[in-house]
Amino acid sequence: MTEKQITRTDLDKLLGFFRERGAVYAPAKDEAGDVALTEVGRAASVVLAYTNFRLSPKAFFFPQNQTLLRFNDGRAEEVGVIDRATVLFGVRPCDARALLALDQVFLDGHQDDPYYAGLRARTTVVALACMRPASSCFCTSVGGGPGDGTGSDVLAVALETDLLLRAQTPKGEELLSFAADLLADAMPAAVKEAQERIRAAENKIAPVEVANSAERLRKAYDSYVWETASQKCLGCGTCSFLCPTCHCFDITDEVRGGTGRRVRTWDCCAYALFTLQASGHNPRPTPKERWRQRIMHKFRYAVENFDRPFCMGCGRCIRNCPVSMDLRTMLKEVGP
Amino acid sequence: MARNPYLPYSARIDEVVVENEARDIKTFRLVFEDPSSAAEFRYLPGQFAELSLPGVGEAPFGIASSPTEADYLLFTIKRMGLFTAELHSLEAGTDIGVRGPMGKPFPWDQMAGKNLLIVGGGFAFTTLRAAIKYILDPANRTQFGSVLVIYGARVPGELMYKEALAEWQARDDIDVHLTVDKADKSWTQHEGVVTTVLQGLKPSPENTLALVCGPPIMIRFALLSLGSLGFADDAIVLSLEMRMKCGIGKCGRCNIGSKYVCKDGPVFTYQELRALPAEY
Repeated sequence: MTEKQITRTDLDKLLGFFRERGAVYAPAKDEAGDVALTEVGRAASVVLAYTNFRLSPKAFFFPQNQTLLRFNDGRAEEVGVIDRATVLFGVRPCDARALLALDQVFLDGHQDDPYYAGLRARTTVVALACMRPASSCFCTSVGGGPGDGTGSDVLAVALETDLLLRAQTPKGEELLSFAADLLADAMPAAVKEAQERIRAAENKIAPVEVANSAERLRKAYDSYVWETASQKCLGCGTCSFLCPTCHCFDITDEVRGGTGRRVRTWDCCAYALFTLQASGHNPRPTPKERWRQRIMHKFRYAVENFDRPFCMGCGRCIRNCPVSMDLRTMLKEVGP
Repeated sequence: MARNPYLPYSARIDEVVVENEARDIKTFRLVFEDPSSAAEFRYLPGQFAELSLPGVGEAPFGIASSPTEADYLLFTIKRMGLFTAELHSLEAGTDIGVRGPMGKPFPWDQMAGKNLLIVGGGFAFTTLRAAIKYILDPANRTQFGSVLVIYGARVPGELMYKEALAEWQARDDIDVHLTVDKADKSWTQHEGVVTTVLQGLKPSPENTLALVCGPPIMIRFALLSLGSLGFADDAIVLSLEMRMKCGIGKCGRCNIGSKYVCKDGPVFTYQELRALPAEY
């Protein structure tokens, strides 16, 4: 596995190098002052000191609105995916790891989603080890960690003066070999510093008891928790839209005079209409059933179907809920 | 390259038949525009497809035809929501998209060599029609033992597929019992709910599989009756409906517990259903 280093002052040069191959997105401050993945060359300079982006990078692979078909005079036509190589630099390990979960849904090997597949194939993900976890973060309790490279193609670790770059996949190896002229072989001191920094970050993360959630949730279908905990839910869907693994979608048509498109749009199990049938019957009629679905899906059904919880511990749903709902509390209250 | 699973096959509505007196159930016969699509669209009774109308959207429906019929597809559809209202306004000759086939069919491997009990109610009889057509095909009939059908509707005018029912009742290799909740003057067959007829006929559970499709209330009592007759939970086969969008296990709305009705179903044994949360 290739392990390289580069001085931090040369980062702009490195990203410029990547730009020769296509689009490069890196962390920069947006108009609101938040650090977000921004296309390099357009915006302010790259920053490395941030906790995580407000939005997960899932939209690069599963856009909030995606044209599935075009209608031309009533006839359905396929839509191609723009084959523009893209590098995402600075994705946090939790969000990179979430791609493995999305892969299991969209690339199930039975009926692969061609749009997701196209966007995934064209994109190279450079994760940046997390040094500033938030109090709402719990990646270490769901199989990840601030220095976890799974799901990324290259794992970068920001050191005092340098960046350590470790290839995770053949795609990552290829990216590093492309930039070989700018990179030096990693020194043992850099590898050691990276280890220490990652360990320090790990120690800042409070563990949450979720390891056996699937087992506990198997006994908790009728728990009182769903009723009480869901009472304050507004059904706004913020948690789903920000979640790096939530992938539910709606399909609707936008057509005028036989011409238009069929579009896929993010949807959310917290919405009352999500499961409403034409007859008026709704298998999940109240927030109680909808919250049970949300927690069960992430921590039990996903484990049963895909052998991993569909929660990466990024904490976005906790930080951004307008009524301060916290799935950690719910998981605790589910009982032993 | 695999076919884009979101791209419907182009088809045409070839014929529209009104099935009931209330005129809110119609059978649409669809013919593929390209004959090679028919060859690709390989299905078995119990499976479903998404019908597509540009500008209106898509909705899933059980396939009411059997692949042993000709190269057309039948869908019997009640006017219920936005999509079906639009569909009901269409006439023969209109273009329509078909995406599928989707889901698992009835368990044909397990059904071979067995006696079959087919219990249906109301407009849920569609995939059961497909199953009966398939069973009665000369190439298939010898694979199965006796076939007993109990089909009920509220009133005689609500029974669908009247020609086929008459044809089946005239045969001696299938026993078809029709019942209505409320008879009219011309009605000479059973009166009463499906489960009353079932209790009266007392079919033996021995070497028998039961296929049950109908409204929830009928299902509930049919399951009780079948249980009391000695049918094991894994000898009862049901078909479920859920709101769906993608039909291929990705959009996330048709799950019951960890199972997706679109790809793990819509056909489940009662034993499989009992292992799932009662959220349907």
